[in-house]
Amino acid sequence: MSARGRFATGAGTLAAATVYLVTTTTRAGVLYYLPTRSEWTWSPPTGVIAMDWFARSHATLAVAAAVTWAAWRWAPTGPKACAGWAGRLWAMAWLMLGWSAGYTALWLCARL
Amino acid sequence: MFWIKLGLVLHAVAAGALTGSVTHLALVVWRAHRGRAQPRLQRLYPAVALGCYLAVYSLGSLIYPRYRVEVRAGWLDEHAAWASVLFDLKENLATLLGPLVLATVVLSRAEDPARPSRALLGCATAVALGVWFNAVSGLLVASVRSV
Repeated sequence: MSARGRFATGAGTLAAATVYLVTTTTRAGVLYYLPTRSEWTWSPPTGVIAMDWFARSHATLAVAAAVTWAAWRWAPTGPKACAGWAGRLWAMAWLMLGWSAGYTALWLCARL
Repeated sequence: MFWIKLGLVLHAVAAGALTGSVTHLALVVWRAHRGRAQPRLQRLYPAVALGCYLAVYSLGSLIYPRYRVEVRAGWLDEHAAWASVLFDLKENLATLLGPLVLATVVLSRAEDPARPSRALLGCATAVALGVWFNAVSGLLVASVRSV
């Protein structure tokens, strides 16, 4: 039960951090909200305030929940294999979270 | 205007409750790691934290467009760029904390309360530090034009 929980949450966190980093660095598949027009668009016009946070954030949280559920459902049956994978997944998840946070901080500070 | 102000106040209240719950969660998990488990609290605080996180996130999402147009574009970007950057950092960090809050809920229910895993210790600590950073950042940004 414990290894299964660590496996599921490690997979969910890793998937979420990956989605966050990919959508932040590439803007791939990001839907923009135009608050001055109350519209959503894939390609925002220049000179108009466009917010990509909603799509990136909602996608990150949705992927975290979906992958955690799926990984819990289809976790390896052997506790030893599950624990081994859980450790590897969490190591990669922390790495990806740190990379995401560091990239975001540098990207935003470059605006100053 | 009234609904936006109300949303902001409720957002702040929920953020206060979130800060309290994740701080207590980190403390009880570390205490359990040292052999003094409190099973009921170790299961209660993650659930409270998840509820507060969803409330803070939802209310923040509702008032964010108004902030983006009238506060950031209308004033902060020109007069206090550091506050604008700090706010964006806070919003993105909040997104990254979401999966960790979810992880604390799952792990606190799946594990033996007397033996919390390193994953749970790490999640509880990271969430507490991140939420405190966000609470202080939010306070600083909100204070730019007040004092």
